[in-house]
Amino acid sequence: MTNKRRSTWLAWAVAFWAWLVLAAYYANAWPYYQEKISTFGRFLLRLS
Amino acid sequence: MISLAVVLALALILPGLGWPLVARLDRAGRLDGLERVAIALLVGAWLLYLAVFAVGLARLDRLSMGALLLAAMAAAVPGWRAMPWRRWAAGVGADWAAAPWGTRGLIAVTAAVALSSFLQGLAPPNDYDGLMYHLTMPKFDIETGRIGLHWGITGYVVFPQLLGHLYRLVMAVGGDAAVQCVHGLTGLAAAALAAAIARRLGAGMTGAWTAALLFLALRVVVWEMGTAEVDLLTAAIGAAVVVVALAWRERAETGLALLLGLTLGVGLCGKYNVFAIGIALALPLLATAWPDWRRVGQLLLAASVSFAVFAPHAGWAWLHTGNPIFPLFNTLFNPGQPQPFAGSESIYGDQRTVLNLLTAPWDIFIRPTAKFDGMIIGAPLLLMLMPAALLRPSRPLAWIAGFCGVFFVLWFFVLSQQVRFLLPIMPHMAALAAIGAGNVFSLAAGNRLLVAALGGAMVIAALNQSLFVGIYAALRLPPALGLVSAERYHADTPTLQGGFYQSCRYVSDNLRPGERYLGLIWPHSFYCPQAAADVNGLLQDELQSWRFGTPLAAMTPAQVIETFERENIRFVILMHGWEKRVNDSSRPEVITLTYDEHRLARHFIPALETLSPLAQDRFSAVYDAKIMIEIMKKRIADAETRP
Repeated sequence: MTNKRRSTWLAWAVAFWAWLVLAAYYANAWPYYQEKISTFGRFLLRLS
Repeated sequence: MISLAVVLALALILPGLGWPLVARLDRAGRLDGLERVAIALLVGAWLLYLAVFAVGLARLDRLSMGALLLAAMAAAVPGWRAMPWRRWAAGVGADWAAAPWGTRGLIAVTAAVALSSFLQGLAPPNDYDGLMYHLTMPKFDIETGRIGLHWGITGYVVFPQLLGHLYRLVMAVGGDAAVQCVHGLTGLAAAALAAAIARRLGAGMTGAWTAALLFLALRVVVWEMGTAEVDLLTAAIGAAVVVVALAWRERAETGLALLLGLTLGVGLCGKYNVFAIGIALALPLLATAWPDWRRVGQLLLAASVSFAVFAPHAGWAWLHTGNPIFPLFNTLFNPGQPQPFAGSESIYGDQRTVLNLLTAPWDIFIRPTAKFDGMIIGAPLLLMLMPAALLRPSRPLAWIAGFCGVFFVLWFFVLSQQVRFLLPIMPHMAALAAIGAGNVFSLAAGNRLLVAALGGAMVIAALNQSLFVGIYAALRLPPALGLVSAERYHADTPTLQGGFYQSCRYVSDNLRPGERYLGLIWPHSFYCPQAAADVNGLLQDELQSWRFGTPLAAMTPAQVIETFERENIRFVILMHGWEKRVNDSSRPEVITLTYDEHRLARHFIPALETLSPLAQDRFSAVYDAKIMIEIMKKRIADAETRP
């Protein structure tokens, strides 16, 4: 494999890893953000 | 304003105080200007800590600390005069002129995050540990007029006080308005050292600023910058010792070894967790030095210096508790006495198995609320980027990874598994992530689809993280800048178990000289008077009972009345609930407290049920103890006359 192709594959591997981490994070932390969003919503309602 | 002026003066004084010593130990200039200034700030903090310690034992008030501050200013002048200002100014100007617009934007964002987080220290304290002991102990000493021991707050009583003594200085001279900003200063030093580590790993200006930003934007850093915790000091120390160790690895000079030991010792004066940094540092350093006996000897010298620097605190702790590192290993130093905080290591975190150790890095970033102590880091940018640092391996990188790895294993198996206790390796992780970002984007250069795939993930995570930065700013900057009152801020802002602000303010405003109050609140809030408190139900002659494991005597209602009258208890503050935030649902739940088993409260709670609180907030209420006693007396009399 040429250096260029190897570099491209490595960069794709990192990109795959980054999206995997991100997807897993939101899958697990979604209730946390949901609660924050509803708190923020209540705050906006109180303001209104 | 005086408080902020004192902190800003400290920002100038500390590097000036430390610079001559750092420059003397680094005669050959192996450290660059940024590294020297950041380390000088830490060394200067230690010098001032020693001075506050020495003077404060005799007198701790505005006059003594004001005079000390003026003396420190004078002592810092030679250091400031010795700094190469012209060279730095020319260097900064040239760097800025050469920087592309993207890098300039990065610098502006980093500076904005740093400034925002630093200024948040001006908001009223509402952080759990700060309220419980970091600020509470200095307040106790200021009330009593000299450095002493606030036994009622239990095992924290002789924790290392490097920042605590600086908090005492600021509070004595200028009040508590800006005291938390002192901790923020150490956070800025840690960010600078994250950039320094990135540079030692080969990063250019963009990489160095990226490392600083990745560190500053961590949720734990944003949170702690505006608090009076001490973990950011450990981050700065963890980064500083690695910077010095990297320089020493290249040239094993005795001065650098001494500086390494000095820096580590400074950290030990700030938090016991720094012992773990020392061990994590020693293993890779010994591996580097062995079998060169000159190098090994230098490392032993460094260790000796660390212990010498730590000696004043160890002596103080030993004098009062018989244990130089109280409360650590207390059963070893004081056989027969209890081990404070026993079992607390299992409150947070995961089971300590090898399999869980291997999955911990994933769980910390991905499942923080389920497996560890909450959303400490935020978006997993570091986990996304750090592996890419391995794309260009180097000896310094392997060495830093080794240090982080050993520290992580120690944290997992020995320390309390609170993720914030990983702060000593977070500057390094930020530097590795910055290096990783540089590596992967340079590999992807020219491939638009790849750059978009990488950039998309980064942008989502960065936007997510900016929410944390923004929310903390939105919560804390308005009260910090005087736009929102402290009452409103405390009422609207959630904090672990609460600050008990309204209740404590009421007691502070209405307690007369000679009167005491019973505080059944935890944390025993900084906002309450300290010296006049029976903290957590410990009466005056029971303050050290926790240290010796002395059982607290059961009481009858008549004895409770007699005790309250003898101690002239004017108020009772009662905590009635708290908010639990770490659970499987990731949603907070309110836990209601009952006092059915409490030896004092179970007797007076029925009397309180007929009383209206004098003041209250979300989780506590203040009652008039005098009226409460009258009700108790009447009930006893009624019971006795009843046929």
